[in-house]
Amino acid sequence: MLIRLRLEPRLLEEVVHLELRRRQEGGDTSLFDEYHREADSLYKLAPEHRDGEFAALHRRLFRKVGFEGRITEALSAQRGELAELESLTCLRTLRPEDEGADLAAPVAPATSRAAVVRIRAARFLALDDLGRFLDHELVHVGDLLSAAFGHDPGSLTAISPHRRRLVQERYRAAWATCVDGRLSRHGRRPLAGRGEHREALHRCFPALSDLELDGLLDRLWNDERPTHARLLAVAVGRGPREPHQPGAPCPLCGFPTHDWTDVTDDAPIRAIHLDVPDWEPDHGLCERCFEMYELRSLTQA
Amino acid sequence: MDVTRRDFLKTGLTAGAVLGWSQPTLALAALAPAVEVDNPLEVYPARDWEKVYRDQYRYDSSFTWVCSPNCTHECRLRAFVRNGVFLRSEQNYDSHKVGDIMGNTATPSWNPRGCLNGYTFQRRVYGPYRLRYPMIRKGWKQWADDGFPELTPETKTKYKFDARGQDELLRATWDEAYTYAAKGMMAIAKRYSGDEGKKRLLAQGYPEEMFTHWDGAGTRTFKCRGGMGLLGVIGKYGMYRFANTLALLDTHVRGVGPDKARGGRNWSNYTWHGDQAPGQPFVHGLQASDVDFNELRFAKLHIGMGKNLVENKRPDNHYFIELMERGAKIVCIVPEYSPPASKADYWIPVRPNSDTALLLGLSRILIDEKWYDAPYVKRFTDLSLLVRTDTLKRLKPEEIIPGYTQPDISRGASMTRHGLTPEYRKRVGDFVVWDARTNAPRAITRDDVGDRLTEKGIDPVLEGRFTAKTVDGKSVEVMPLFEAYKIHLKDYDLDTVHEITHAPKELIRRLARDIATIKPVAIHIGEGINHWFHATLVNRAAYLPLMLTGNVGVMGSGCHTWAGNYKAALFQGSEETGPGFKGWVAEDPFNPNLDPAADGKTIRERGYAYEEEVGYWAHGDKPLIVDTPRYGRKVFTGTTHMPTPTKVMWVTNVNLINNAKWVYELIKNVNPNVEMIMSTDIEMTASCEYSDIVLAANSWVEMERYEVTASCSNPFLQIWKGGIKPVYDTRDDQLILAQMAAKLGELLKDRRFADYWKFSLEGKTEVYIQRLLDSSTTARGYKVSDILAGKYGEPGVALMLFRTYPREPFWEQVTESLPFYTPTGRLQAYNDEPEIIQYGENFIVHREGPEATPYLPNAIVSTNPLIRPDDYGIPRDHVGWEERTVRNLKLPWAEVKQTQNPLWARGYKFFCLTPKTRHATHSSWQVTDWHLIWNNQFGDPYRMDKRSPGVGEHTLHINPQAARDLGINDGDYVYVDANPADRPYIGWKPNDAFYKVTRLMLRAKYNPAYPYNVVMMKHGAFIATERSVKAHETRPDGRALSAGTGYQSSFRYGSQQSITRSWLMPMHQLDSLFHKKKAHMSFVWGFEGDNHGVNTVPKETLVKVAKAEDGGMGGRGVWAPATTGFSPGKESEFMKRYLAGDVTPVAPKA
Repeated sequence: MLIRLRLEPRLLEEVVHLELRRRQEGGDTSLFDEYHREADSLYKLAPEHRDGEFAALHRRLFRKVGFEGRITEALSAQRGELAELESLTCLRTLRPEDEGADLAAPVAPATSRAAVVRIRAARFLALDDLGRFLDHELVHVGDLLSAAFGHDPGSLTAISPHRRRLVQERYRAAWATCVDGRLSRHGRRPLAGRGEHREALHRCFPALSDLELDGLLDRLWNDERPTHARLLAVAVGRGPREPHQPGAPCPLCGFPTHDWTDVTDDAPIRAIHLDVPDWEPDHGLCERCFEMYELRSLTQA
Repeated sequence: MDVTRRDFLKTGLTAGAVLGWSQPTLALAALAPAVEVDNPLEVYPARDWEKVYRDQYRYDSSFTWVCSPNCTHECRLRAFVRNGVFLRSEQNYDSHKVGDIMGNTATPSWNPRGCLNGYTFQRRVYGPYRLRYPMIRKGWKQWADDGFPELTPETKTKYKFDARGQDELLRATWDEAYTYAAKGMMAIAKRYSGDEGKKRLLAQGYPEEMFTHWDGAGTRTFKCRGGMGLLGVIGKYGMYRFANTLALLDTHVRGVGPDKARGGRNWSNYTWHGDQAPGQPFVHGLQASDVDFNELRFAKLHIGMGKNLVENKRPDNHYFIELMERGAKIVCIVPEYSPPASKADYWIPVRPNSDTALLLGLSRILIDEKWYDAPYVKRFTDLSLLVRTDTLKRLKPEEIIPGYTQPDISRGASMTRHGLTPEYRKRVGDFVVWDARTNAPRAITRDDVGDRLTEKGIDPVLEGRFTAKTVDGKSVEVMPLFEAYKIHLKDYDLDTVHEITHAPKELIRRLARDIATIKPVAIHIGEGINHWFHATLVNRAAYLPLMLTGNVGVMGSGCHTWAGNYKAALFQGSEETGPGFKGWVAEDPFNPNLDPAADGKTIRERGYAYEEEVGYWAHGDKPLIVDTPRYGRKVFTGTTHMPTPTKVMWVTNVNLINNAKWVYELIKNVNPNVEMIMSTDIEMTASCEYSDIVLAANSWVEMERYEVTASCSNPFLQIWKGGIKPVYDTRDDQLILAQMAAKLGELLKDRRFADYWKFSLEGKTEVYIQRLLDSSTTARGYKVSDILAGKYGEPGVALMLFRTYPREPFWEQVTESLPFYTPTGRLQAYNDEPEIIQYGENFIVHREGPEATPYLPNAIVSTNPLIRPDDYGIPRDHVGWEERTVRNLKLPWAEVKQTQNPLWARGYKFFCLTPKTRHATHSSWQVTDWHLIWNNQFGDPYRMDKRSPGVGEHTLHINPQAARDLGINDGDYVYVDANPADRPYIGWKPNDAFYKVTRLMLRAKYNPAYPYNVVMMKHGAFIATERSVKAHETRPDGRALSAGTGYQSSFRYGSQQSITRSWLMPMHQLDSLFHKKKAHMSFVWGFEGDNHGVNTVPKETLVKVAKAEDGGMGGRGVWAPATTGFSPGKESEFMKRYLAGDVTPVAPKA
């Protein structure tokens, strides 16, 4: 099946302009001149026609400098896994933390599968980096499309809000490790190396000993056919009691905290359970939340 | 010809090139050797381009306007206009030309006026946050369209009364806005009138006492507030005229006549802001004592307590600097090494909330060392009056003189000048001194002060204990209050005062000696000490050393406070002149005077509205009622103060919700019970975001009708209107009030509504202004037309008609022997009102705060047997806030210092000072771009760190060592939390989405000026709202800029109000306090809005500070400026050497 590639005009515009500037600063003004030869005349058009023509120009140059080719190359490399995909839309984003791929909500016909990749324009300035990013994200898309993977967003929403943030972070780290492990085994360059993934896993699972952490990293890195269920099990898994990471979000209020508190008395625990039944002392909480529940337990008493 | 931008540029370039080479001068110059150019100006290329720069200040016209935020200065600036656009403002330099009817003129030193606020006003007028048209909240509109169904938990949710912050504001036409609002008012007034109305309100949980001033009228549930009305008497104070208008509505709703009709409730300003020095009416009977700023020059010893005359009072703080030039000594009493402390001869650091003890310590030294002015004390203070030691009341002549009848004082100053009525004279009674000449008690009246006392041949003793025989045959011990104070002050010896205040002993003694030996002495106070729960005591205490040394009523002396342009008294009415200010706000709506030429003196005043402190709404919309173990349910709110339930709120020119202490409690738990909230403003504020109807007003430079203002800190009477057309679909605030009233009249088919606002509707507000001038003691004789014609200087300006220039409070009392405005006619150090005796504050005494203390909350530090407070049986360890508020426990310092506040024990060990910023006026200008950038250390127009809510953000100043001990780096984001029992709001839960909005997170800045346990956060910033937090978390750029409303927050999360709460001080709610009315030459007992009522006290809080996020870019590492080695508290070795003066050592002379 042919995958339709959709590119957001704002992304195209920013990428083209960044590329023009990069080349110009490097002393090559040919593309700059070519762009202005075409673009300047577009101002003669009636305002309502300009946007479309500019978009076409940006798309043309985007293709000409090889960016589109890099995307299609990444798609081709995984054509098997992406067989069901009808379209891929690239959207512009500003922040690194907003980058990533996801499946678009199904539209009519309900069976059609569309993916969205949010990407910063600056990535296009380094084709190698762009390639690694696309390869990585498209493996995620492949997993999402795969029945064997069994993606089930509902399983995350079933987790109580206070814990969902932590589980999501762990899930993200574990899945990313699996993706890069597979890419490296298939001779493609991963987005991040084992070392970086180990660090990320350590941040999410600070209680694990070095040995346990290495074991988890191996397991994930070498998992050729990960499943949503397995990854979720890793993410929600509760090992031994964990020391909490400074700056990690409190599972109750969600504010990042450097003041984790131990709860040993039954009364505050009971007070917490009235609001958050699936919270457990091992999850920890920030000092502010503890104070509030301690106070409430005194009032209730 | 159709030329595109591209064609145009091409043509321009080509033509330019040809022209350049065709110019002979240029060609020759280009060929000639440079060395032969004698005069480059003759040969260099044309400099026409410079015209662009020269022309940037070109203007077509100019006009003057008054910058009138609540800073008190009311600066007249000159605006410059080009192509109809208000480009900039400059100083007008007109002050020296301004004169009065008698030919006096102002000193040129009032020039120049204005500050960075006024000079950037165009950025607000044209700025992105401007309100452009009226708006109605979608849910409220639906509620109205559905016929205003009764609000139940379900309908509150359906119409989003419990989620105003998540609803939409829809654009409306003016007619739609007025019509919806008028219909809402009619429906709500009807719903809460009569027996049915009362039944509903009782069912909603309002206590019976709240019906005291309701009188069956639903209109009494309407709360109207004209924000610091003096800032625009017609448009702002006009809100109170609207509240009076509501009496007409009541006649339709209840079918009553004028005799039974009731208007709305006038919400206060000055007290609500916590701006008043609430203890001052207890001492001298006036609402507040303040002087024109140029009076500062006369002081020889200037003591600033919690007052920052460097950073604040911007156009006029040069007078503070002039003190130095004129050889005055300056003393600064503040916890931190503040800007004025750096200018002072000496700085006395004190523990926050302990100034009263310091002042009592000073007073004790003055007495012990006999450094007091005995004649002044005898002539002008109550310290010579006898007090009974059994009842703690002042001895009354009728108690010891059989058949005593009060002397006739009908020709005395009390009755002829101050408006004391025979009834009040009888109630106030007379007093007794022990006469040294006859060695016997002598009766005196409140008129017997100064020379009047001397003329009677009475020489009161100050010391000694005496036995008086009462008419019923008892022997009772009496003593002059001076003697009683000697007993009282035994608790405030130097060592104890040092322990309580942490002030160095040698500086306390030095200050006492300076007060005794330098004259005149002035104490200037401000929010610094007024924003504590026991401000009443510290205000009273500030007068004690001045009373002892004769430093009240003399140029350069006194105790003065400025914090807000509150002074309605500038348009004071009197028997001779007419109603003054009341003739505008309380003209009889049933008999309005429609003659444009009528003298203001003839205007008939009849107030149908009744004042109310906003503080009750902010306290869960309830008065102070406590279940006490000893007496059961006890009401501490005086009858005269009693609020009614709040169902309609309409405010103008105030960011009421943003500036409300405990704001998130109000939004979450109080406002869902309010059925209509209306805001009139010029910009999108948090108050607008949480309103049902938003009315867009003209700014000061757009006003189409005349407005009038004056100031508590300068003598200028000013009338002005705008000079540019309204930029958007906005209207004069006075017209909005008038048209709102007219709409009610239209719907009710009642012409009287429009008549009552006739001259505003006709655009002739100068009629109302003339009446105001006619009927005020300070302006009678002026004609508006003369003032506008420039008869007294700059058109629009004249001098207020004061007795002295500069205005000096109590000059007449001391110079002409007139009584002060107290019951005794004297400056009072003692209060024997029954409630005050019960509260243990008959003497001025140091009390620990109910919250902001390391010790037992609210403890009275004393062993004085003449203090006999009632603790109502409330256990000492009770931590409830109402119980702490009313519990009166007297303990010696030795015992108090062994106690600990449970909050302090839990780590809430920081006092949080919340002063003004120099970059804004309260909440005005807070998010104006340049101000937001410069208002803090984190201003960044590029917002490199996308966590920043805007181009700047709010900051917590913290002692570097305290921060380091908490693991906080300079520039980190921190949480600032207060008592978890009730803040940010009662009933908060961690997983409540609203909690995310309300928890205060802001940047920490190391500041070595602050002591270890003191943090500082400026007030007035724009709070985080539900919309702004959502924007911060979802917008790609992270800005806290609300979608739909364009509201910009100064915070990512929470606000300065996350840590504050409401306190209802019993001492502020007396029915028995006798004092002068604020805007009339007459007296009142108990409550009067802005005069004697609940003041808000944002500093009365303890906070805990905890690290939230790293300060480095994007939350990683340390904030870069803190790594340079040049930042305070994190100095490099080199910087330390530099600060020590060690970088360039100077070799000693051989």
